[in-house]
Order: sequence, then structure tokens, then C-alpha cells
Amino acid sequence: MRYRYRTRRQYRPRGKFFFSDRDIDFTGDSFSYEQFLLQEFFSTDVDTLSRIRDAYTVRHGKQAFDYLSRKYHEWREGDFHLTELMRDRILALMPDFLSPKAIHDLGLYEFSQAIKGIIQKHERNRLKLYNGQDGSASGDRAHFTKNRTWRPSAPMMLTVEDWRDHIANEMRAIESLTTWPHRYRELEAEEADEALEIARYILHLKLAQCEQHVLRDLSTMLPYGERLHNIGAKVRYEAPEFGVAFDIAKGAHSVAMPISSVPELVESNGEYQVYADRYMAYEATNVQVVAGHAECGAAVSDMDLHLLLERIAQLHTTNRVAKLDSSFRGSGGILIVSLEVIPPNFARAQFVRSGFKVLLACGAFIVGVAVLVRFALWPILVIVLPALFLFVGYLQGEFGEIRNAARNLRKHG
Amino acid sequence: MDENKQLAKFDGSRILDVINQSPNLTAEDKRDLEKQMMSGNVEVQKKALEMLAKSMQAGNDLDSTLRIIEALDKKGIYISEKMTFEFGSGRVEVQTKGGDTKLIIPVLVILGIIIIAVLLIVFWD
Repeated sequence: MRYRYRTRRQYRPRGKFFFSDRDIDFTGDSFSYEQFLLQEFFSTDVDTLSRIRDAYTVRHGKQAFDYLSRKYHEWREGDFHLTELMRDRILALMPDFLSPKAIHDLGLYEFSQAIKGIIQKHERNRLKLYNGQDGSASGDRAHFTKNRTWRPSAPMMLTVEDWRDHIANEMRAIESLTTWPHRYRELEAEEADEALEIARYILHLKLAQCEQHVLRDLSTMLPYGERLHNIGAKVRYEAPEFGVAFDIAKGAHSVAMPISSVPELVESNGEYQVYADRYMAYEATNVQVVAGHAECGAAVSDMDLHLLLERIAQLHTTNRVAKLDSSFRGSGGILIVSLEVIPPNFARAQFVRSGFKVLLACGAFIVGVAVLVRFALWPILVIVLPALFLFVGYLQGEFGEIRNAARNLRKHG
Repeated sequence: MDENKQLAKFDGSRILDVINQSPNLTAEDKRDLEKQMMSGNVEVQKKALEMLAKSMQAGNDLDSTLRIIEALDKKGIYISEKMTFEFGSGRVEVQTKGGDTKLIIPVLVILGIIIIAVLLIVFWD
């Protein structure tokens, strides 16, 4: 026994523990089960206290109970510290002597944790699947790089049909969620189901909102995407929340109707309905506020794309090479536009310049070797000869540039 | 919750109905939620104005940069530069280079002539 307590002490905070009565939030994340049980112990009624006395005496003996009853009031008032041994004994005993109200409160804790836990776990799993660090799942597309740093893989390119399947999969994933395991008190089957249904409702609501945002972006950005594609830009829309992308420059995506849906709210008279309604109202309000921010971004991106198109037309009139990389955040994703403008005369000049550079390099090399041969500087020639390999490498690079220039000439010339 | 739930397409206005029709929300809760919605709306409006101002600024910057480049082009000056413009909803990176392309080729031709001249001088015998 002594050994057990000694090892436990290592994990406990040092210092003496004085009990004090605190407000416990059963729906918050900072709930302390130990504090709850101690508060129940020190606020219990006389009948329960006599039952506790019997149980305590049976477990630990009369002498131990006498000590407990002697110190009870001092502990309750926080005048004397509560030893670990006594605290552990009280904590081990109390779950069997909880009042109906305490059992209800503990149920409320389990109920709220079940809703939050289901939602958070699902969102975490989707995040991991699309961008995250847990590569164990077969569907996980992210990967470790060679130096063991985590990199999400490139988003999956989708068509409208793929997108509909994708959303249908998301809906199935929500529907396949199961009840949350209890921690301190097992919920009734109906209560556990109710928590699950509320979590599903919130997740469906969020999914529907996300889908609407992506479709709205596509409908706004598609005309710009097609116009940008016509002037040679690469245009891609990425929806990181779903880990997907659309090549909207190809103009192959007519905007689909949303398919995700939200279950109708059906009233229930469960024990925790008041909390459930409150939770849903706050979550729904939060979803609405977030949606407002996203839609604001979408409206501005519409204007920005209009501005960009005008400026690109201006870039085409200058006698310059211009490389443009841009990204615009819509309501549900990011539009990525990249464009290279090369004026025809610049493309020709680039080709001629590359050709001349190769000729010049060859000429300079020949002159150098010729001078060395002419003046019979053989030792220097032997030393310089390995530079031939460097020269060949340089020529390879230059030929690559010529090929590039020829391609630009064909495209823009 | 009913097992035979009815599915309906999502509509943002339904959120307000959910709040208003819920019998279990106290007047204080409803007031708090309305306050949240209103402050959310105010924040959205503020954010929209900021983003619009940023976009207009970036558009003007881009315009004036393009005008300067055009003027330099006319003078035949070869310049290369990289600029970033922060728009309200994103950013645009522009990398341009150019100017008088006619200048490069004569330079290369002269260098070629110099090489030939050196060869001739060395091997004239």
C-alpha cells in the first residue's frame, strides 16, 4: 500500500491541498471530476452521509472513520489540508453516493462532451485525411517527405461528377458516425443517440455551408477562369477544406447544384433538450457569422479578378516579358492564376540571343585553345583541358534555353 | 431526434428560424445570439470596407507601376523587377523584364567580331 501511494505522489502536484467550493461548468472543457466528487462529499445531506459512514467504516475501519469525522468540518471549510490518502478514499467512495441532481449534472457533462467529441473527432479526421499528419488511414493522401517533415499531397483534381461523389462521401462519413464513449457516467441509449443526432446536424450544417461556398466560388470565378485561360493563363481553384482542386481554366466545369442537406430539426423531450437547443443555436449562429466573413471575401475576390483582368490586358500592350503569379481567396477556397506574357519581338530576341550566346561561347573557347596551341603553351593547355567538361555542361544549359526560347517563339511569336 | 428525419436543402435564413422558434432558449440567450449575429455583421462590413480599400490601393499601385514601365520602355531602358501587390482577397506577384531588345543583338555581334579578329591576328601567318 505504502509503495502504491509513493508512486502516485510523483504524478501529483506538490504542496498541500485545501478544499474550496467552486462553480462547476458541466458543459465546459475545464470540468474536474475530482473537484466535483469532493464538492458532492462535502455538501451531501445527512442521510447520505450516514450511508457513507457505514461504507467507509466497512472499507477502512472505525478508527479511520473517527479521524474523518473529526476533520470533516475543517476540511470542508478549507482550514486544514486534505491528505492524498483521505482524498483518494473519498474519491473512491463517492461515485456510489451521488445525489440525483449530481447524476443529472454528470449526465449533462457526458452529453455535452459526446456532442463536442463527435464533432471535433470528425473534423480532426477530415483535416488529417486532407492535410494532416496521421498517415495511417488508407485514404490518407498526405505523406512524409525524405527529411521526415510532413507535407500534404497535392489536392486531387476533380470534375463536377467527382465533386458530387466527394460530397456524397462526406455525407456518408457523417451518417456513419457512432455514439461517443462515456467517461464517468453512461448515458441512456436514447440520450447517446440524441447527442449523436445533434452532432450530425451540426456537421451537416457545416458541410452544406462549405459546399455552398465552393459552388458559389466556382460560379463567380468560372467566367474569369475561362477568359484568363483564353489569354494563356493557368487557372486552378483549390478547396483545401475538401483537399480538392478544379482546373477551371479548361472551362469543363458547369456549376453543379448543391447536394448536401441538413436534417430537419425534430423536437425531443429528452432530459438535456434545453442544453441541446442552446448548443445548437450557438453553433448555428457561429456558422452563420463565419459564412458572412467568407461571403465578404468572395465578393471582394470578384472585384479583384475584374481588376486583374484589366491589368493583364495592359501588360499585353507593353514590350516586356511579364510573369504573374496570383492567388485570390473566395468564400470556400483559393483561385490560383499564373500567366507568362512574352511579346513576339521579345520571343524572337530571346531566341536570337540564346543562339548568339552559344556561338560566342564556342568562339571564345576555340580562341582560347587556339592561342594556347599557337604559342605552344602546353602545360597551361593540360591544366585547362578539364575545363572542357565544364564547358560541355554550360553548353547543355544554353541549349535548354534555346529550346525554351524556340517554344516561346512558337507560342507567342 | 426522429429516426425518419426529413432532409431539406440548407438555407442560411433557417438558422434565424431555429433561434427564434426554439422554446428552450431564454430571452437572455436570444438577445445574446442576436448580439453575436449583429456584431458579426458589423465585423463583416468593416472587413469588407478594409478589403475594398486594399484592393483599390493595389489596383492603383499596379496602374502606376505599369505606367512607369511603359515610360521606361519608350526610353529604351532595359530593366528587370519583381513586385508584389496585396489585394483585398489575395496577392499578385509580377515579375517583368524588358526594354530595348535591339541593344542586345548588336552587343553580341560586336563580341563575335572581336573573337574573329583575335583568331585572325593569332593565325595570320
